[in-house]
Amino acid sequence: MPGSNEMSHSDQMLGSPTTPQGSTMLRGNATARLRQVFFPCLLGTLLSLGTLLPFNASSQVDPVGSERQSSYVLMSSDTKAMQDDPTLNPATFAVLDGQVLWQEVAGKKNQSCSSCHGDAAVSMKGVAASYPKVSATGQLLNLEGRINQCL
Amino acid sequence: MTIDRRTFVMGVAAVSVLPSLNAFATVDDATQAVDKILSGQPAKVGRVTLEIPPLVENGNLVTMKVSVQSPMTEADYVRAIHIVAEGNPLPNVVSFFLSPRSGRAVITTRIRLGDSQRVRAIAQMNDGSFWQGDAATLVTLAACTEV
Amino acid sequence: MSKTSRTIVTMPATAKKGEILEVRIIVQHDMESGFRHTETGQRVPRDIIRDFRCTYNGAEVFRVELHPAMGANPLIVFTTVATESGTLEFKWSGDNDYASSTTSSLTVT
Repeated sequence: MPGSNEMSHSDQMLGSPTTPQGSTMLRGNATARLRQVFFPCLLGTLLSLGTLLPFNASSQVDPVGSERQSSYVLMSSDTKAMQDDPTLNPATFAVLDGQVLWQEVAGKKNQSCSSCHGDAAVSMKGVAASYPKVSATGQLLNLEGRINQCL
Repeated sequence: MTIDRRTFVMGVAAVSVLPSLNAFATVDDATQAVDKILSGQPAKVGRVTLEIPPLVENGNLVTMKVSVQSPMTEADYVRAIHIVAEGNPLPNVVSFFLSPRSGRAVITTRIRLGDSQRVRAIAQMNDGSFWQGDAATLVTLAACTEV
Repeated sequence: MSKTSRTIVTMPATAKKGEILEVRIIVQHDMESGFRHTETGQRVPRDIIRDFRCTYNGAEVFRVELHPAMGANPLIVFTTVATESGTLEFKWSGDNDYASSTTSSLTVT
């Protein structure tokens, strides 16, 4: 069994794992699209709106339902200990890199992410976990695709 | 579907000249590395505890903790701890050099393991004597050769 | 490949004289082992950190020799005795003239 030689460097649980939250951002976009575009996009829009309604847990739309769990529970104890403590977690560097990139100007519009979205800790909370998803135009987008759309 | 003889022979020839990616060190290479550290001295078993999870999911980041029983005073301290792997392409993993100012001979780090294997820890005391310990582990996903 | 190479040091800022402190240090470095191959079959050359030293007010208290089997973004957790107030300096050096240095202040009462 894994973990019988576990080394608990620090047992502080630093907050619960991220759970996907309702993306109010897409709802706003969908409303804008309804006004602009017409028939072909209506279907795609209805589909994406359907996936948003939290009480619409029919098996066709949300097959996982109540069984949804974070992959965190499947990790070995060493990996959990590494993830829980930012002083041990190499992913902290990726977070720090991201904070720098957030302020960097890029893309055709010569803007940085922060110029539209402000503080990422507030505006981007839980957003990454909601991707990939179907956009208002019926496209399947992952997070990279969404960022490319912004740029 | 039948393969004609020509294709078969060419296929075998192609496979046999593939570069040997898995040129892992054998236990002999690890023994040679340990002998180099010991320089003829014996290594007593004991005082050294090497902790590695018995089952490793990903060989790229294996948490490893080595501890040596020692008062770590000027008169009696651990001078060096060498970690040698028996199933990696290269036997030497890492060497720690301590001093009486270390307080304790307990170090944790993360290493790469390329195969299920025994990992050995050799500690040298300030009086020149050697002590050793080891730990065996099963590695599910090998480091180094799996991209 | 990361463009930056940061070091994160975690250790107490104050200590009592004679107390044993735990120091955790992790550095951002891919530690390219030299055993990986690209999709076209070419070997990716070795590019690792080879040496780590910790000095306490100039005196070396801990040293590590790293080999390719050390994991990426090397983490080392070690201990040192709080002898006097001052600065601990952590230096990494490696292939392709890699050198990085971080300091941490310690107040010993």
